[in-house]
Amino acid sequence: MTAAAAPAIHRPRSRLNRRLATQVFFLLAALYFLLPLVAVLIFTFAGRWTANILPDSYTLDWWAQALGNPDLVGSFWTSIVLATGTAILDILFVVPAAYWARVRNRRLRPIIELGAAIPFCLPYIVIAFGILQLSGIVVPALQGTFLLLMLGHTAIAFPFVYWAVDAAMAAAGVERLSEAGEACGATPIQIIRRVILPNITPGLVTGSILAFATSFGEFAMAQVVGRGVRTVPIWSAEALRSYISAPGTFNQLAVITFITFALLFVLSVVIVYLNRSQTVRLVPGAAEVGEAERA
Amino acid sequence: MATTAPAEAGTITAPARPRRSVGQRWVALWLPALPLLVIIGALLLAPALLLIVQSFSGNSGLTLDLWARVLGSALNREAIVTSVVLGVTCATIATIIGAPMAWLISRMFPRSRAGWLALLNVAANFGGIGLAFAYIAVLGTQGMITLGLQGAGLGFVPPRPSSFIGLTAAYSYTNVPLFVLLTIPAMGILRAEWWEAAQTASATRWQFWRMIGIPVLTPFIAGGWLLIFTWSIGIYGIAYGLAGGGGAAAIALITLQIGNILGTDVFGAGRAAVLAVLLMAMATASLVIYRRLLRRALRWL
Amino acid sequence: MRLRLSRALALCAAALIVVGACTGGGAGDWKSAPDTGKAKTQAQSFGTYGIPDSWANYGESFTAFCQKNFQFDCNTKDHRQSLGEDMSSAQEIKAYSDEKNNPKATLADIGILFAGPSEAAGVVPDYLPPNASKLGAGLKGATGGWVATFVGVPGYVVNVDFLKSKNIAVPTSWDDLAKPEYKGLVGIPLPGSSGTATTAFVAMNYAHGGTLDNWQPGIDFAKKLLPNIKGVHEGNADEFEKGEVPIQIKYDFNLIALANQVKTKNINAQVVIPKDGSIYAPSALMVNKFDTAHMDFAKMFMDWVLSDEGQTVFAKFGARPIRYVTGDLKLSDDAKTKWLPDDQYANVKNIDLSKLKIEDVADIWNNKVLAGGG
Repeated sequence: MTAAAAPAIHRPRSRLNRRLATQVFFLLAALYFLLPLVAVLIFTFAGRWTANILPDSYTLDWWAQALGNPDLVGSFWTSIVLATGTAILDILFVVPAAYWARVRNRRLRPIIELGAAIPFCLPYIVIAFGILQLSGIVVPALQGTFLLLMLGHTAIAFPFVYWAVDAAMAAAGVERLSEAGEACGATPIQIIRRVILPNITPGLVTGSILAFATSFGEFAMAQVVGRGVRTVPIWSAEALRSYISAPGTFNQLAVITFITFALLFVLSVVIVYLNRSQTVRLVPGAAEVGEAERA
Repeated sequence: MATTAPAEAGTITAPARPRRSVGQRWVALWLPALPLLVIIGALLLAPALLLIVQSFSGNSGLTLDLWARVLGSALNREAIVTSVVLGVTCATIATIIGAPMAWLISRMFPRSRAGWLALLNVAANFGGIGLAFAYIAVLGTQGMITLGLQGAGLGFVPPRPSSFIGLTAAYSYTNVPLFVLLTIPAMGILRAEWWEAAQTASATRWQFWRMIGIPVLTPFIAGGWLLIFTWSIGIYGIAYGLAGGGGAAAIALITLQIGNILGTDVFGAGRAAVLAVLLMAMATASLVIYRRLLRRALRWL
Repeated sequence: MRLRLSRALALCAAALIVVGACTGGGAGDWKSAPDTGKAKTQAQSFGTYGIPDSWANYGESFTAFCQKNFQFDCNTKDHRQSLGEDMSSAQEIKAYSDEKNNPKATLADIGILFAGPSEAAGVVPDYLPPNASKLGAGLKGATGGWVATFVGVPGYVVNVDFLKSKNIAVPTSWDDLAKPEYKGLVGIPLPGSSGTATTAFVAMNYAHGGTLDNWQPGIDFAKKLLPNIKGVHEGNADEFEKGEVPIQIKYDFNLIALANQVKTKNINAQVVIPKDGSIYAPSALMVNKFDTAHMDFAKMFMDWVLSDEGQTVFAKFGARPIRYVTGDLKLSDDAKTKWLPDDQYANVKNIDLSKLKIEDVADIWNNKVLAGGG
């Protein structure tokens, strides 16, 4: 509330109107963003629903059915394992690389930045298709496996982790920390474990959450690369598109959609809390803007 | 790959060098980053290059046959046009709603700002199949809003999920928040002092925006527009959920065409590669423009 | 160090090749007769594409087959992984081909129009079971790999209650479907990809005087139909019940099943075999050549679906068995209780679909109907 809302003493009336307009705007926006959530939630409890904004009756059957559906529950755990694995792999790959790019080899930086631009430049369906074709030539045995899908997710989610971790390293001043560590005679691994990691925890958590979320909701690669790996989006797509599904499938779909939504919300709150309501860097170049802002 | 140890080679060419050999130096410089570089190379770079090669290959070496076949099909041409128009529409909507929103949020108190960021984060990440279903739950023939409006006696007919309007509405749900998250950092560039200075010079709010605010922010907003455009033409999950999977007369989009060929056509990989390269080219071009814009904008600050 | 790295890479590559050889290789012999003992083991766990329990009674078919031959029910989740239940024929062929190194399904149900493409794609084995001799040419693979199983007649099912609430009459012909009052109400899958939709398109063409060599009447009609199907899902039970897609084009046996399914919820549904004509469209069982690990099971099941018992299982569901249509099999009235009255089939034609090239239909639909000034 600094510049725009700075008191304009000579025009109290218009200021009030503007306030009101802003509030209405945000009220509408909030409604818009929450509406799907509410609709999906009601859908999970809807019995008969004919011609009103609310169902005619309510039931807990769908939750029971969904949570008792081995396919659905199985796909949920598959997605959880997949997303967790993706986040772990990303951390394992990115942290040493980002650290090295900062303290030892500046030439790494543009290469990693370029790599990080690819998942933004190329749609996931294109990357997935490329991986499908390449794996068909190089490692046919890996095709359609959970492992290949997880590696694919690791590749498309790494930029989020890199940016979060890199920003945290910048904030913590790893170069100086690292020098100090070396002066005390610590090995690089000791420095990373004892000095760097504890200082970049918010970045690590933010990065892994973003990687987790990317993998959890990803559909194109799961469909193209992970043939036969049944993730939540794959189950959902089948339920949504299937022309032979039993009645009630949509209600179960509502249950899993709501759970996904809730999961995302919790993770998102953690991110915002950790980053003290700064936005997380989502795209290439945004950091430059952020740095300019700080300057 | 060398089978002789490079360490030896190093000692031969430079016999009097100090303790560290070339190989060791190389390892020291690159090894910790190697796993990540391998991932980038093998799963991002190489697949993209392979698609480019495949789109130009035929029985007799390098050829434009596949391109001619793809662009010769009326349906593919329709898909390309529709994708671009959809991208432009979505980016424009995201800009019109997102830019003022980003400005207002950037000026909020930390607490409400945090609340909004959390909400926007969820919406921006809530894409794909889940969103497609949510759309149907809200605006499907039997969706909540549809039933609500009809129950209130209004003759409301919702847009078909797979229609252009339907897809635009669904895309916008994630695009608008994404735009806001992208541009909030840039909003900090407008300094409070500038507004104060403008007021001292008795400029109106409108004058301030026209002469200072909008010109300064334009490159960032244009950049956001480009990113949303790129993002929108590449969306697959939402489109598949709403319009894909074999409707006889579903909307034609490049991503859906690729998905359809991949799902159904044993001999279609080459044609899918052409469409993929087309997407790549568009996305790369707009990302390059984006970076240019940004660099130029930052130079002024 | 680099030496060690390259050695490690070589080791990795070798390991992958070995893995590849183990899963992809070890090819058995498709030509020999099946071994019941091995088949019983293979029936413990196998996958299928596009064969939900409710598809022409396949669920019961698997149960009866395994009970008879192996004394256990293999149609439970522990034994049969029913994958890709909504896959189209083209998707199934593509999946066989894509997964040649890791086959996930042994059997799939395809429209007969896709039998040719399956041979061209090289995904079906050279094997025909003894019972295949009961079928004429064109109803089984030239060198094997697939056999016709039953016929479907493209028609549609109508949610009568929904139409009544909107004061719209129940359509009875293809021509009716193109009327403006059905705008956005008709669901059909994609011709050229789905067997059902392709044969429905053929039926529409024939109903308007076209032939396999003259598509113009079908194209003209489809263009008129387009506003009514544009943007509509092909439709499922939920969408049918709720009125999202109150008219759905499918094979007769699926229509009957869908109508019966919603009847339990007190929704009136009517199955329509269009009175301006339809066609008999055989479905086929397609075996996955690459799934050598389930070879004996696949061979035996292929034989079973053509046996008198196997054919009767289809009939009991409402699907007309192929050997009944060719006149090779007599069925009791008991087996036909779910069938629609024969008089509805007066205008259903028997045409030779083996000449039809699926790519041509896909091309006609995509470029003449959809994009041709639609």
